Amino acid sequence: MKTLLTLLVFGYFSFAFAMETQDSTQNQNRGQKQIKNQGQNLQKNQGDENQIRDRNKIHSGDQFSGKNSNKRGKDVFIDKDGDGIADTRAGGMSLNKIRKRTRSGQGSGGQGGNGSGGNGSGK
Amino acid sequence: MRRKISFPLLLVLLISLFSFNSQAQFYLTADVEGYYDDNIFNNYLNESDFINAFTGELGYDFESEQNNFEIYYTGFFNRYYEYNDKSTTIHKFGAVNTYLFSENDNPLNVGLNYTVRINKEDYYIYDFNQISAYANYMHSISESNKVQLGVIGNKIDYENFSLFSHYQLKAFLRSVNNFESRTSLTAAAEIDQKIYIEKMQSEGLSDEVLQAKLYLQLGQGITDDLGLSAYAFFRNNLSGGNRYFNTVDYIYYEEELFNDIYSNEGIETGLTLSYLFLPNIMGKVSGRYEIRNYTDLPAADENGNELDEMRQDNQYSAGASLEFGLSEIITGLYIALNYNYIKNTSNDYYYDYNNQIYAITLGFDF
Repeated sequence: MKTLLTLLVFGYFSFAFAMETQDSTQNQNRGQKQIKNQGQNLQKNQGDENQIRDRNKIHSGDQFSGKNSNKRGKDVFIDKDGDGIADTRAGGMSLNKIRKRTRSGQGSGGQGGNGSGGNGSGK
Repeated sequence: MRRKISFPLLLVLLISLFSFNSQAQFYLTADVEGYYDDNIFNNYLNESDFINAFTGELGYDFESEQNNFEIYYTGFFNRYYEYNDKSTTIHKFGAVNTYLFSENDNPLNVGLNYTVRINKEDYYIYDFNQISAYANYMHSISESNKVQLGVIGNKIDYENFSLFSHYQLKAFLRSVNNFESRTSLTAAAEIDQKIYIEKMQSEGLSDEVLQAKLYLQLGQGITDDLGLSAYAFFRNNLSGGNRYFNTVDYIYYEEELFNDIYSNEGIETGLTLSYLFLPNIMGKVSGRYEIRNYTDLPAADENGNELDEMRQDNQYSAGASLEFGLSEIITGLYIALNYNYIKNTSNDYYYDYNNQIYAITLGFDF
């Protein structure tokens, strides 16, 4: 019974998919779809901070550019570290390569005391 | 007796549910980018590399009269030739539902996505996974005036560096106003909160940070083909600080590890000129100036000894891009050329640098 139900559901989906793929090639309701897709493309990635390029536009200064197509907007500035923020920040460095700092004295505003080591071993 | 529902069956049921009385179709976007970067780490050492990057997105829309449900996957891969260990892979899976409260307008978006970033060898400390949930609504007050408000919640886990794992909560409000004079004005305010998952309750290690952002953008169409856009972006840390960790000999700050945006506050302002040379050729020229005041990162001398002042940067950058639509060859195909120049001056010698990037992108939106 369960198998039959699965087949029926799957069969329905396949049929729907075939019909709708055909529809899509005919570009029906294209205008409305574009508006919705634009909205989604802009909004669905608002949840990302460390994300894929051109997605989170809040930091790029170009987030509201009204591109009149479905295509994602490219920023003039390259997103170097691929984190979705089209900015100029340095990419992360490995622990072996990162700058070696020593804490001499208590710098003003610095975090005095012994920092917890956490679990950040290099290897 | 409880029966387990298999994942494929659940997926089929879910898809069928959203297929009911709706149209559905796939969409695909992809771009391949190659760029030469003469200072990949953005410091005075000026180490250069050539990088290839690929971004691809595959989605499936289930659309009805006033609703669109979409599932999607996005993959990002980059490859550094000289510093191969810095190459990264990102996978992202998500679903978003958009409901229109009026015909073609007033969308409510609710979405959920999962992202995992995988690094190589030395960089495995940056591996992370993120779960993100969000909801936002844009309301049209009139045809040319809109307001949008939304909330975002992220949970970011650094698998090999849990000291820095955190939650992130954001709330924003934006307004977009267009005028008959071809002027558009955008104003946005946002409050971001970062809450570390591991509570340290230590004087030197922050448990949370609160940052406020304000954004203003003015766009002006000068002719049908020429447009000007100017913006100002303010960030201010209202409370908290960031974290670091010690080894026996050294101290590592969150900003220098993760480019943490909560580590600094300041002002950024920029100007972009866009010109449509032909219906399929768009050119842009941009300039940008930014002041960054680091709230918890001391400047240091050439031996790595911390100085008695916080790091402070001034950054000037310029960029130009030219994008060619190639839809006459294949619908959705385009090629873009980019050039970026950055000059950063800092009270920390390590961050006095110049940077140039030359990039070419071949993209395809289907």
